[in-house]
Amino acid sequence: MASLVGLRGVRAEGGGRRWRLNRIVSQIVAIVGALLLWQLVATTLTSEGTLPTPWSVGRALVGLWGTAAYWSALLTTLRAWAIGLLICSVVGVPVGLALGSSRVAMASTRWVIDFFRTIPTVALLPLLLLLFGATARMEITMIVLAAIWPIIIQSIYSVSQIEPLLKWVVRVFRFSVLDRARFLWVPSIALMVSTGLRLSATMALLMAISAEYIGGAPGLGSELVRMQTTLQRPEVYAYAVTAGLLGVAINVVIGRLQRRVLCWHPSIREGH
Amino acid sequence: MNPSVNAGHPGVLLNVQGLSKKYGDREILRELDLIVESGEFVCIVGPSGAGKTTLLQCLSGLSAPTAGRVVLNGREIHETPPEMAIVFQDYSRSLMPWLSVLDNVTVALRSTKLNKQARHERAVAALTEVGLGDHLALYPWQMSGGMQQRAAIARALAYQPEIVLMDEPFASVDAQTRADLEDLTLALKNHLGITVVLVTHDIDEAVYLADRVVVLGNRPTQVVDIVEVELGAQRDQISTKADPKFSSLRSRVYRGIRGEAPTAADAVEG
Repeated sequence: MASLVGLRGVRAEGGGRRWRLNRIVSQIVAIVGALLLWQLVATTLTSEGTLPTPWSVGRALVGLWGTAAYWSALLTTLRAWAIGLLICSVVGVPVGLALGSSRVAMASTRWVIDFFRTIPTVALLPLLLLLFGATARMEITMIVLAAIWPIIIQSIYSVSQIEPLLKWVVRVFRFSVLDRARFLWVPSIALMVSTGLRLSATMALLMAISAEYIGGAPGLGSELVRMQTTLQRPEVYAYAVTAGLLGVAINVVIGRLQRRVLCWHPSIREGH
Repeated sequence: MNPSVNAGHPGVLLNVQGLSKKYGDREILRELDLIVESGEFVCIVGPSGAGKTTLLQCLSGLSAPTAGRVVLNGREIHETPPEMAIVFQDYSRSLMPWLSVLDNVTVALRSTKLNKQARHERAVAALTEVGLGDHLALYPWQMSGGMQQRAAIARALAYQPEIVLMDEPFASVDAQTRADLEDLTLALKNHLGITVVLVTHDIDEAVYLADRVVVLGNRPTQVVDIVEVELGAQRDQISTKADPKFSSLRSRVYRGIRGEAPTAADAVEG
């Protein structure tokens, strides 16, 4: 691991730092632009108070940070999200790898998978509510039903990423099965599987908030509904912004991990 | 398993008997016989698309022959035996991009039951031997093609095999690197006393490197000629290739590949 870190250090000096700075500046410009547009729409196009200004939403958000309800809702949502994503990975990766290892299995399940993944999970909500009520269990089931597909599909295709010549190399040098898994299979499939995980993570968050918002399971979504019913508009948007920030944070963290662990990968080492 | 296979050939290391390979109706190899003696450098040369890679797969147990057998040290092989290593043509795909060069070599030694320290020492020694001693921490993709192929050679050497199979190992590097790698391979072979079987489509390379050249004919592949190369153990890119013996051997191999009969001149000089 130390060598990987050293490598990144060396590469950062080669003109990469300035490029990185440029990227951060342009991102800040984009954010400021979006906020200005929001401000413009809120003050000119909509009637007083329908769409709160970014400033009032920001103030509401800071205000919410002082309440226990906010943090407990955030934690509840995160917990359901994490459990859901864990189930997706534990089930989805092995299933995807198994399907991907066999051409017959891959071909015969393609339509079934396409069918199930295009069913809008929200349509299953009434059924799930009937089964589990407005609970975390309903929420987690929804997360799994919606977010497992990217992991399965990426895992299926990850199998084809194993270099055929390296399969010979491990046979020539008589690698044990465990060593083949550790030194060939895991690194070969890591990029595609982790990309699936990243897609699933976003999807899972979306589903968590939906299950709370529409289905009434406890969390950020149901807090948002509570603010709506008490007509606290800036707080409604503050919760929406929280969900958005959570999504960004999750993506950034997984993306960072991916780049760090897979710094050897052609698609990452060149784009770095 | 016939224990009398090696009788009368105490030095025989690899014995290929009646090797045939078919994919469905397509006959790739037809009844190849080949004997490689211990310490020999044998080049197998044939036209492109002559099933040379298929032959190498059968020799190494990566692919099962349709008929015939491959015997190494008196034992018929069905998988790559521990006393054999392979250097593949495509160095960019045969090294693991997620491991440093050093780790690429040490990881190939895990089946040897050496302890971690011994694996490390052997890998460093092999990489130093091929001239990569100062580049142990680099990843394969940070190195030139020639360096990558050196690393692949080091991996094979560190494994300390009795026999190394090389599949067109220098076909994907530039001419200068190619000459360097040829000389490196010759030097290592002479120094370590290992047996080398190298598959190539390049006639000059085959004659320059080999103690014996096995000439393959095309479709289905069969042995059309076996040429003893008596150019001595010390060879060099300029004087060896300027030797009249070299050019007459080279024409004999060339004619063999083209399917022409050896001429009287070949018989005298070769």
